[in-house]
Amino acid sequence: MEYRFQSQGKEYVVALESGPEGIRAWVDGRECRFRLHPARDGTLDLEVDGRRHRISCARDGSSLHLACEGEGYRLQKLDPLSPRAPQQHEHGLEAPMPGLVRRVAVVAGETVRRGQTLVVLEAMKMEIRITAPEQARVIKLHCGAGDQVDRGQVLVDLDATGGKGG
Amino acid sequence: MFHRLLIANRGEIAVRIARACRESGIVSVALHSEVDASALHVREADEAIPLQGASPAETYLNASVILEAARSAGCEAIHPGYGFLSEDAAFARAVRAAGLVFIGPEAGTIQRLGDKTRARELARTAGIPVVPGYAGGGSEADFLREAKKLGFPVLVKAAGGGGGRGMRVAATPAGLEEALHSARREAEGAFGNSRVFLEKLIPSARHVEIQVLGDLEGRVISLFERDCSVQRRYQKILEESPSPALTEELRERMGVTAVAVAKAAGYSNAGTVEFLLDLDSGEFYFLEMNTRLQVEHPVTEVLTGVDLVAAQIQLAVGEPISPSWAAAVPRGHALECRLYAEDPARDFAPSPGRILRWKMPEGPGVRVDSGYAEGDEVSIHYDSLLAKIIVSAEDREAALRRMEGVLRDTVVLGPTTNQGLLKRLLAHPVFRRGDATTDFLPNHLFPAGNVHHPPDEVLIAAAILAEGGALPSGKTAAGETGDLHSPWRVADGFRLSG
Repeated sequence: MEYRFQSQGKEYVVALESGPEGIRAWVDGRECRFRLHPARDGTLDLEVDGRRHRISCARDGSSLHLACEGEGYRLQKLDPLSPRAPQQHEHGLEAPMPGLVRRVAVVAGETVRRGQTLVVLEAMKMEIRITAPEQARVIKLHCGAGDQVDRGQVLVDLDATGGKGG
Repeated sequence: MFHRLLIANRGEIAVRIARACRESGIVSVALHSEVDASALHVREADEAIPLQGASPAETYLNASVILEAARSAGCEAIHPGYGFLSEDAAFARAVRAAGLVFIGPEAGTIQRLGDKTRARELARTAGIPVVPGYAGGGSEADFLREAKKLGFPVLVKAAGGGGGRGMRVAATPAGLEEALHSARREAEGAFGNSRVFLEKLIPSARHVEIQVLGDLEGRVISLFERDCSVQRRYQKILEESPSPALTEELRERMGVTAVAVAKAAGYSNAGTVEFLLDLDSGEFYFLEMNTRLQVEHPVTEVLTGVDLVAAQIQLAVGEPISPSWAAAVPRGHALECRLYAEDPARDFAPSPGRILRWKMPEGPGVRVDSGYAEGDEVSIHYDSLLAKIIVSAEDREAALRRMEGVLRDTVVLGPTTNQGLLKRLLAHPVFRRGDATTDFLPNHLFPAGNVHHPPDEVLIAAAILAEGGALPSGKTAAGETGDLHSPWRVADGFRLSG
């Protein structure tokens, strides 16, 4: 069985295969020898190339959360059938974190220049400005001041072609 | 002594205060917002009072509602913790006017020291050096002229508060206007006071602060230093004591100076005097005095054995400086790491969410102060501090090794944290040598040190997790249960389902 994951902008392919000598794994085409030791405390006790690792795991939808040796990882499980990784909303700008919409600085139909602040989000006492990646026209606003938004939620639809000379 | 105390705070510091109350035989009464109804600080306190709303303004910053809660619960004292109302002079005044004990200094002292330009003036009058600067108040042209006199780069700072907010660096005369503008806007939002002032930026500096305790008779003692030079965006992430940058002579001089500042301000209760140590000149300058318990107070507690929260309570009811505090000596080395729900790879963006898995370290010389447990939701409404991990050992090297060990053993799944960054920070040769200055993190660990790609074992584990289709135990928040094909159910390895 083959799995595809995305983490920090990189994609990985991991294949697991059952054989006469146990289970074999390929990470991006490289074979890795591993053994799984029994563990009952919610961790995986994994031996890879002779070294044992205790790995804590949890799942949240298609997000896999893992921690190993004090380092945390969030891997997105990708659909094996989709030809490429899920992209951002085609012309939309997404919330990079869950938060509250403090201010919407533009109106629909407005032409914005590159770097212009569109929406100000606030979470945990920090303000984050969502800015236009390029000159564009604002097609639609999906949020208003005071709204609570989730990570990945589309906030603004932009049309990059509509901004030219506008 | 009083019998009932209201904790006007949340998170780890509210838990810390509830524990101190328990040890002192005081009934602790917690407050909580709607989203904090089942938070750890509520579970740790003896009683709890619900407040309407979720935002800080409606709840933990709402002075009149908090005073009413104290009255209705029959509390005789209020501990404000840090942040929120802890440095609000009007709140301290209102608490005392209501006939309650405020755990902290006099309202007038809070006000004097809370205005950073007045605090600088107070220190200078007492003969204590301050960082060269300009108190502000003039026109943009005055700011520009004074900045040129100081020499660029300069720091624009908010007069009304600290914590890194309302603070900007202006590297050139051209950048000053924008720095003034954005610092004022942020200061207005954070402190309701847009007044800013200038300080010369000292590039090669260490942030060293002295813990002081003062009683109502005017006696003040110092409890040594904490070195907080490792910061991101002017926010501390690691503190230690003793400071690797101080000689015995310098330590002595800094302690005496801190006591002089506190005495000049008529200070009582626990406070912290912050200094900037210029490594080029070897001189130190007064920065500000914080009129409350610091986040990093456990460093001093494990170093000296003095319980600062218990001391605050005793001092607030008029007890004198205890001989045991005055005789305290530092033992070994103490180190604190702050675990934040933030993503260092995405410019430290906050990362709230449900804690799916949570394992804090334990063992000899290890202390964890936290306001969270597994299954808790880290809310968007409050700050991102998840836990403080404090270790102590016989010397600095042993303390560093102990911290490295416990960080390997700490697990937080769900919110992204700065745990990996802390690990790489501890391993960095500059930090290891004790040479980290306030610009260390941006210069040495950004941005490459923030992105960490998953190694083979993690990728294989992810595939096994995807294959097994189940979580290892039913106790996680996702609510999934194991099935027969789960790798955790199979005694010896696992079988592929396909």
